[in-house]
Amino acid sequence: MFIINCPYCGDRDQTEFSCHGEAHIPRPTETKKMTDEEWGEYVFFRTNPKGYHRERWLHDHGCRRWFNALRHTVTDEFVASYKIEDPRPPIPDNGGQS
Amino acid sequence: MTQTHRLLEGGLVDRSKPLTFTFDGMTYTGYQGDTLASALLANGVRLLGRSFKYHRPRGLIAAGSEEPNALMQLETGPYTEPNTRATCVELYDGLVAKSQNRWPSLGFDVGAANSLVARFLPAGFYYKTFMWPASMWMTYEKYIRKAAGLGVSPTENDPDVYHGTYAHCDVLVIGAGPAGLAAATAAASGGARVMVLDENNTPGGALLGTSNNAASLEFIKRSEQALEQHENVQLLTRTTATGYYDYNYITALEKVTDHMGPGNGGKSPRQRFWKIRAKQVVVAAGSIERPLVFADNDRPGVMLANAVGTYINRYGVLPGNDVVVFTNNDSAYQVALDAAENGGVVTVVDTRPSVSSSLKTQLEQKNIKLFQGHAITSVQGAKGVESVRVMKLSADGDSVQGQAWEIDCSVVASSGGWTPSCHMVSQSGGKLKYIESIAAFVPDESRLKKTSPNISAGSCNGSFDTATCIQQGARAGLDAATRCGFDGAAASGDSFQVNEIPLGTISPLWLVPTTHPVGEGRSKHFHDFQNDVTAADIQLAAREGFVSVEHLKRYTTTGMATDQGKTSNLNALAIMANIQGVSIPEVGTTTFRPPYTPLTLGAVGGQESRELFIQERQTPMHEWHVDNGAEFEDVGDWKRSWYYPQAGEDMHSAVQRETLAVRESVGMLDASTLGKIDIQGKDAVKLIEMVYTNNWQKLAIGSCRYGLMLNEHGMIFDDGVTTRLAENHYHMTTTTGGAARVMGWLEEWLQTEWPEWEVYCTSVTEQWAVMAINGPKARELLQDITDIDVSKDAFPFMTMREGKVAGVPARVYRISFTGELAYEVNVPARYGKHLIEALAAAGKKYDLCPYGTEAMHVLRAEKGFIIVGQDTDGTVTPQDMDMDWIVSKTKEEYLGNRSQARIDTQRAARPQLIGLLTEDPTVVLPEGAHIVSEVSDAPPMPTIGHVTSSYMSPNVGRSIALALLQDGINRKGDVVTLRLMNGEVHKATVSDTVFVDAEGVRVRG
Amino acid sequence: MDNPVKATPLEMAAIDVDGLTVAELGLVNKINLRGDFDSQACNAALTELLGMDCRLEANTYVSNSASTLFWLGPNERMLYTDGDPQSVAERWRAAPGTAAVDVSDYSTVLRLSGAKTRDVIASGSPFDVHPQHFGVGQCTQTRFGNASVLLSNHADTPVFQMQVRWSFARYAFDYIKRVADYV
Repeated sequence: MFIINCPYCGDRDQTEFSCHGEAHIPRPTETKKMTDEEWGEYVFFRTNPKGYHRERWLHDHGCRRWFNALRHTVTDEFVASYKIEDPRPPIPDNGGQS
Repeated sequence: MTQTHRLLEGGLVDRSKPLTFTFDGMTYTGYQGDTLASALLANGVRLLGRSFKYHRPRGLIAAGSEEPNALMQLETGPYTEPNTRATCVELYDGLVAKSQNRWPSLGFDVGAANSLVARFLPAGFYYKTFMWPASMWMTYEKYIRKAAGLGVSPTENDPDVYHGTYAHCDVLVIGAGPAGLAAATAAASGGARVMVLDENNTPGGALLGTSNNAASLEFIKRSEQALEQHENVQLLTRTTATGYYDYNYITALEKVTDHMGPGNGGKSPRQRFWKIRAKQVVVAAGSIERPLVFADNDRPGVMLANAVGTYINRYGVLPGNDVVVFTNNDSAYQVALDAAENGGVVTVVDTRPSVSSSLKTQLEQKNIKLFQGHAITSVQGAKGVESVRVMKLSADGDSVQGQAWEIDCSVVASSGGWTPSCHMVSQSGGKLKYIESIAAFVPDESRLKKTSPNISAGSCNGSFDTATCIQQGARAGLDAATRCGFDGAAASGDSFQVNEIPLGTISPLWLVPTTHPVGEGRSKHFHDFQNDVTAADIQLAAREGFVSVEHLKRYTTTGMATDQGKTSNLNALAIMANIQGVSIPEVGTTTFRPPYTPLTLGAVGGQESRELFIQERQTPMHEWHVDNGAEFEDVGDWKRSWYYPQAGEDMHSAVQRETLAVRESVGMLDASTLGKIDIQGKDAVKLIEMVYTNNWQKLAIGSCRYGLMLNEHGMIFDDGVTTRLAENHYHMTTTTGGAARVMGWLEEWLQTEWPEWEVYCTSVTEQWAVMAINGPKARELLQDITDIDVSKDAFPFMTMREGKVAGVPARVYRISFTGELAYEVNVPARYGKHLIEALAAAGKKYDLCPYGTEAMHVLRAEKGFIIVGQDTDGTVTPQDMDMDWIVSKTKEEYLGNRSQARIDTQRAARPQLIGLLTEDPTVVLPEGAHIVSEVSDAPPMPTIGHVTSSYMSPNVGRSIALALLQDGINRKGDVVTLRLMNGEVHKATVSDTVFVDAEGVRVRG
Repeated sequence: MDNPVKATPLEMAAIDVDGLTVAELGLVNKINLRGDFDSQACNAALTELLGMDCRLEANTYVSNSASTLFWLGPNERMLYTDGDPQSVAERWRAAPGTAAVDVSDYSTVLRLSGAKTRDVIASGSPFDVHPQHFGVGQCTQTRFGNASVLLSNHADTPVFQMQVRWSFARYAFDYIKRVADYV
């Protein structure tokens, strides 16, 4: 049961949040010009790393803001959480050990 | 009955407060302060149960929560609880306990015949024997479960109440023994918020079982007083930390009123489940003594050495007069001294070739005989120890030799060393390391999980003398508080005299040899008592290749009983290591899993049971529905009126009546549960254009439009009507179940993809109470109670008007989900009750009929209106629903647009929505019924579609159905075949989906 | 019909047991305000509208005799006002880039007081309401059981308010009532 740092509200219990998968997948523009493969890549394919993962979280039972978080999928360590408009914090270079 | 084994004095029991209890129908007496175990022992009751697999007679092994054998069926009727450990049940007056797993009686148990066929019940027996045919498992299982059964579950509802609560602290201390008390005192001294948990009914831990109670009790009292001075400290007794999860989230079970007996807790909950979030954790969980694994070491009377000490010192019970202490380390010598001190005739059998002269001197002073370099090779006495045989060990410890000595005794106190309780640290994600000098694992402080910071102190950290425990505890408490930003007093710790003998030099002898090889002959070397697993089973597992610790565990079931292998795990690992010729760390350990000790589901659920299990959402008109006899349907979390049966009506006739009334006169439906979203901002229409498939730019102010939402897969995920209230102001409705999902969907896109758009979405679902009035007389009814001009031209279909209805401000939407002339009247929720009462009163002269969701379903199906989630299932496109008309051909972008052109969404023979008219008009097809291309006697049959909605329609005068059928739109007029689960076969004609008023005249009337 | 009955979800139900008093506050005018509250223009407009300094730290509220303004999110506030919600909303909407919605009936407000208040809330909420962590003047949205709530601390004695959606009000009330016996 994580503690998650909402960039607006601070540390909160995981049960106030929901996770919505990989972050930083912008919706393509001019979709009609895309091939099925390109569109399929956007709609269906996600990375599934064993290690650091940037993902989208929603503070459902709180301020109802969406934000991004950098989480390690093995240790569940949240390295950072950051607002949608913020630059991406770097991935630690320790290979994911914590 | 007299307490034959009770000492005249000593211990923490109150001899002035006798308590009466029964065990297997016999009445006994114990004292306040006893556990059920100590009270039974005081009465000389040794045989407490039968073992799991072989039904061997079993007695007490331990004095604490690690007890594997003494599982009791406690109390009767709805209060009965199986598998309670007698060592953890505090005695109360009137307690009723029964032994388990015996038939017809404990003394004579038919199942004990299993012992005679033991060679046919080895490890993996069930897997090997009952694997094939798989279908027979269900039959076997019934008998196996019964034969191997532990206690029985109550059949009645649990009359007790439970409480769950969250808690927060800076420092959580698990265990209130010497280390835990020192840690808590140190942590609290600087002002930190501290919680201390202990499974006992009083703090003190192992100190409670030592022989100089006075000094120990004074220390405990000092510590308690020191903690009481701090308002931020909470000391919880009878509270076991059961689980340690990520980010220092610890769950704990507090037995609030269990010790009072059933029904005696007043309003207090029986148990409380704590969900604790701690910044830092000090684990001071203590350690558990390991039994030695020797031949027939499960006979009643063979106990852990410290248990014998605890029964003597804490409970004033001498388990037997003739005691043999069997050990491979020094700590059990204290038990020998304590037993002798209290009148026991004691012999010590030590596997080590020589012991220190000081120990020898102490034994001599008490006339205790000592066998050095010897081992117990057999135990006599089927239902209780009568004597043991002792022989000299070979130098390598692998065999015994020479003369056998027979020693008469009733108790064997065995000690194979101590296993630190690393459960919590392991659960937290921390790793363990093996320490040769104590022959056990301890937490590896360099390999803890970063997200769950904790410090281990005391004997769970491998330090077994009280002084070191206290020092370590004080240090850990101070460090933990410092990490939380608190200064603390210098962590000096307390000190006092304890009668204890430290571990000394342990000489592991993991498997004690006997006169014949292990596994041969009738004797058994048990390491896991509760699951009846022996050293021979481990040998078998090794021979069959199950050498990985995880395989070993599952194949032999060692460590998998309710005691989770507290006394057995390390012995099992070590025996396997010896067989393989590797070190213990190379064999590894299994990861400890919650819960530490069994806990009740009632406690986990806490107060969130019965009507608080799932929130029941109610509309403002709920009470009116109740008063008018509504039956309710669960829709999402909502209670919606399902139908309103009148006297003598069943559901079918009520629904038929309501359905007819709407098309013949007028009906009203509570539609408050529909999701509603207020959308404002200059870019509002851009958002609406993106989330719906159709065009919205030209929607006039005051007009409504139906919209379909797709996900990016191109599949329908919600629908509803959206109304333009003002230039940049819209009111969107969603399905009842989809309200939160749609709101989240809009916000996700706005916040993550289009943050520069100026659009604000606000849920207003409960702001508005909504009554839908439907039917040819809807206008007349509404006219009577509103100041809005509801004439056909002034208030056309798909528009909204504001005004007063029943004297209160209202928004009225002329939209219809029945195909009838209809209005949805929205008033602020505070007026919901007023509105429905006003409508009911005004509607009398029009035969206004309240109708529920079932009639609503029939009415909309008669019109072929889909319900998202019923006629759609997340795999259907607008085209599949024959709704291509609502998909814009001119819009550049909307969510899911590109998927419309995917190969899969374009392929032929996709399932499409059609109507079905059964050959026999009285047949109502079950929803989910399969349309098959060929019928055979039994499945599988090729399926080409299925029924999504099916009703008896009083307005059509026959049954109607909607279905998804491959290439269905092109198959109208065809006759298809449906094969039901019960084997019935029906024919039906593929039809249009609109069964009533195909031209749509009525809705525009 | 001239005198329509107004109702609250709990019809002013109350709890009065040892250590806990709960009362439904009745019909409170509530407006959801949106806008860029960091901007000079928004802040000035709000200060003008409510007659108090309306700059808010996250998860705090301010109040004067007529109004209480709660932080809900970076661009979202909840306003309780004695004024007419429609006209307040209209005046707020006059500021650029703003929105306002009358949500008076969307939720109801429970007032909890007495020594058991914090323990009752802790029974259902994972949010830490210890005075060192959640003082007077602070508010938060969190979870109580399965209901989303807006909690605020109004006095050390303690006095808390819990705003809960109309359809969850009965559930939250029953929840409080049940645990009041247990803590």
